[in-house]
Amino acid sequence: MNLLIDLTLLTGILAIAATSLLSRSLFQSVIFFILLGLTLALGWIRLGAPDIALAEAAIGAGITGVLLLDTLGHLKKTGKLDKDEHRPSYPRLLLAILSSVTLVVLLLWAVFHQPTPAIQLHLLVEEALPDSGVSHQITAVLLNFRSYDTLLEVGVLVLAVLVGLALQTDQHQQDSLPGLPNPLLHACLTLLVPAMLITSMYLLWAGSDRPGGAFQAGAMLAAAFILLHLSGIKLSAQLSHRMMQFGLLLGFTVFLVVATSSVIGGRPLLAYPDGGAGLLILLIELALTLSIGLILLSLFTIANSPPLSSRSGGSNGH
Amino acid sequence: MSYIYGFTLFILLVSLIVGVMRIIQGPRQADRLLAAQLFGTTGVAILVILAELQPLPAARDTALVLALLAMLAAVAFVSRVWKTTSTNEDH
Amino acid sequence: MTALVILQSLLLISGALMFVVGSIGLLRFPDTYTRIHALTKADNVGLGLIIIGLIPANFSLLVTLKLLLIWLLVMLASALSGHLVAWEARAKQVPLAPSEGESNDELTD
Repeated sequence: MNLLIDLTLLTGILAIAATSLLSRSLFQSVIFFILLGLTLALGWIRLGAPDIALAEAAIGAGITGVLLLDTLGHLKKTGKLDKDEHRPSYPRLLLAILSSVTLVVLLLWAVFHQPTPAIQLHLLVEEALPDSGVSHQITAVLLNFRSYDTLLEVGVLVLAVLVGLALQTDQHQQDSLPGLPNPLLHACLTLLVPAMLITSMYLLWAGSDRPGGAFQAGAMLAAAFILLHLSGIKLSAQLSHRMMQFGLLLGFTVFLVVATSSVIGGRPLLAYPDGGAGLLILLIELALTLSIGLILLSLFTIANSPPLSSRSGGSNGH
Repeated sequence: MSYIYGFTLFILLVSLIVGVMRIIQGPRQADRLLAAQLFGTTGVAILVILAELQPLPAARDTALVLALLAMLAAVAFVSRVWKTTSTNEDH
Repeated sequence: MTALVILQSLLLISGALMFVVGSIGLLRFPDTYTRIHALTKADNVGLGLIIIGLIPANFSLLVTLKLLLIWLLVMLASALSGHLVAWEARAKQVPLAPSEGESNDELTD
């Protein structure tokens, strides 16, 4: 029975990925991409990796889908996409297939050539867990044992925002889509947005002893902001830029302050003081959640917001 | 009991496959989106059952996240894509 | 097999069948408006039956509350998205299916 479920899921993931790549209609591709995120989340759960499943559900099935739908609407509005139809460009398709096949071969090679005796990393993590200040292994690895990974993750997001800013400069038009003046939607927002914010905090808190953590919580926070943005409750351009700058600064600053203070105190870079690790990790995670939420939101709004030089302001505030 | 969970999961996966046919057929964008919405709900159902079958309580958190984000795609579709699509090319 | 297990199995399987019915409805109904109807039935009843069937699996108050919360959120989401799609479909004057005769399914892209 389990094998049957796994095989159905696997075939489904592969078929959905192929359909998303090959379908002629861009809209259909986007829909299949959302489904891919969803089925991948199911697959991660089957593999017993709920941390990745949570991130995949929030980012893959949630925010990326909205980002792609928004891009599609933007392309249609500006007339850069005459018809919702595209032919796959064959050199590009060939390149994509070639690189993904290479990746699959490399991964297979890595799986079948594990070093013997295998490095028992999970045993090492288990052993050091009491010192880490948290009781969930993934959080301990990400924010204590290998905390530079998290620092670099924020770096990647900053890079994405820089690309967004670069795209923005030659788009001198305003976001003319007014949002949805639907009374039922706005009534539901008063229920949904608080529920999203609470869930975000829950995921953050859960990160210390269960699957969850800053990234998932940040994605949830961003989803709440994006929902407000889509339904027409927008920040003015100036405020939105400020928030983006604040978000970018916040995550980096807290992390760097914690990292360098340990150097000044005579410990190696990013080493937490004895005993205070748990509190510090919670602090960093809180800042990172806010930072990731704001960065993801600004990725969403930046292309549509007018550049600072020609802003007109005048939106209803927050 | 785990046999029952497995059987329920299998029925749900079959219903997903039926739903995918509607996404491929269309004919309107709205029909595709509705099918994706059904897909999301089925995903939630699969996750809460997997939480018992594995057993993996965190799968319920994933279901919660999916349930909260379920209407995001519909709102984005209606406010962004559909508004900019003229009626005669809405296929 | 206790009576509880039989009840649970009945609830779970009828819930899953409700999803199948919803999918078939989505496939067979002739226009966007009726498809919304098929969708929301599967969401509310199907997921509801499955969640009620899962509650006896571990009689924990917190888990039960979380499951009910998930159900509530999904119902809210499906009602909201169904409403939004119908609202916009009406504004865009998406045609109703002809009451008798041919469906408009030939208009594939």
